[in-house]
Amino acid sequence: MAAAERRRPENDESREGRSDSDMELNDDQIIERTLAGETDAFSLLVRRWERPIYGLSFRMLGKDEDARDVCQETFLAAFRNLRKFRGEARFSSWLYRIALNACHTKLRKQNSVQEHSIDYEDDDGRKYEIADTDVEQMPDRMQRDQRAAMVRKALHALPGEMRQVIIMKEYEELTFAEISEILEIPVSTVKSRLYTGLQQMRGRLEKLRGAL
Amino acid sequence: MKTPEKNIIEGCDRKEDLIGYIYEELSAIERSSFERHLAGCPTCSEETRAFGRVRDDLSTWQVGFTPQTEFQPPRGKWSVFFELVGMFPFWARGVALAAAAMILATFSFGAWQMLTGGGKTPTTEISSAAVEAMIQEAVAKERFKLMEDFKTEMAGLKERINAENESRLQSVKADQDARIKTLQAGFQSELRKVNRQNSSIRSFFAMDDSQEPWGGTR
Ligand SMILES: [Zn+2]
Repeated sequence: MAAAERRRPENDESREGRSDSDMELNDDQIIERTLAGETDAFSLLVRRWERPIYGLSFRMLGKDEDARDVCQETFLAAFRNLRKFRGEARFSSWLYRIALNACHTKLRKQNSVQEHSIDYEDDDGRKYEIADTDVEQMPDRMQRDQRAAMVRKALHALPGEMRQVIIMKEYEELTFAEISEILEIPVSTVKSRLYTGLQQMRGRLEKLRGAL
Repeated sequence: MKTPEKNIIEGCDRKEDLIGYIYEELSAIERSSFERHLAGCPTCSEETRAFGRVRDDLSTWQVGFTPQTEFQPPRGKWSVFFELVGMFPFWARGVALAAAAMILATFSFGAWQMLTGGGKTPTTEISSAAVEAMIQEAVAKERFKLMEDFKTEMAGLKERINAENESRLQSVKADQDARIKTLQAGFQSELRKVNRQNSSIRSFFAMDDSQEPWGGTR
C-alpha cells in the first residue's frame, strides 16, 4: 500500500500529459471530449485524480468528511469551469490549485468555529490507515502508528504555506516545478518554504519525542 | 576548530541546493558540486541527516483510503427542474412548482446577496443551517412518534401484564431503545450525506461563473 501510494505510476504518466498506454486517453484528450459534449468522459478524470486530491485534502484538513467534501467540490468546480481551463498549466496543477483553495476555505471556517483539532477522529480506523496490516508485526505497527500520530500533530501545527509544500512534495511527490506552477510562486520560494518547513518539523518532532 | 553547533547558528547559504539534493532534483553537475561542499560543511551534512530522519517520519503517515467521489455531471437547471416536477403526481405538480419556485428564489436571493455583498455571513451558511434544522426537526418528530408508540404499548402492556411479565416489558424497552438508536444513527448519516449533497447543489446553483475557484493560493 505504501509503495503503491508513493509511486502511483499512473499519475506520473498523466502529469506529463502522456497516456498509460496508447489505448488510454490523456487528460487533455478527455477534456476535449468532455467539452465536445461527452460529459461522461469527465468521470475518467475523476477516477484518475480523486485519490491524489483526496490525499492532499485529507492531509491538509485531517478529517475524512472534509476531504471528501473538498474532493466533490473540486471536481464539480473543475467541470463547471472546464472551458476556462486553457491548458497553460497541466490539468492536474489546475485541479490541485482548486482543491487547495477549497482546503484553505475549509480551514478558515474550521478556525473560526473552533480550535482545529486533528485528533478527535482518530478512533475511526479509516482516518489514517497504516499500510502494514500484518498482525504478526503488531509492535512494529504500533510504533508506526505512534510516529504517524506525531507527524500529523507536527504537520498541523505548521503554517499552512509550509504544510502544503511538504504535503505536495512528500506525499504527492510533485516536482519543484509542478509545485511552483500550482502555487504560482517561484521555484526558489518553493525550496525555501520546504527548507523552513522541514526545519520546523524537525524541531516539533524532537519536542514531541522528548515529551514521550 | 568550529563546532557543528556554531555552524548551525551561522547557517549556510546553500539551503536550496540542500533541498534539491535530498529530493534528488539536482543535475549531475550540481550534485557533484554539492557533494563536494557537503564533505566540508558540518551544517549541511548535519542537516541532511536530520532532514532524512524527518522524511522517514513523514513516510509513516499513509492514507490508505480512497473515496469513490460521487460525480455526476451536473445537468442544466431546467432539466433538473422538470425531472423534479415529473416526480410528483399530477395533482401535486402545482404545489411542487410553487415550492421549486420558492427554492429557486431563495437561491437567487442568496446569489444576489453574495454579489451585492449583503451581510458578512455567506448565504451558504444560512441554507446549510436551514437544511440541518429541517433534518433535526424530522429526527425529533420521528423520535417523538416512536416514544408515543412506546408509551401506548407500555400502557397497554401494563394493563395486561402483572409482575411476572416484568422481564418482557424490559425486553420491549430495550428493543425500543435499540430502534431509536438505529434511527438516530441512520438520520445522522443521512444528515451528513444531505449536507454534502447540499453543498454540491448549492455550489452548483450559487456558483458565480465570474468567480474563479482556482485563484490565489499564495
Ligand atoms: Zn553548507
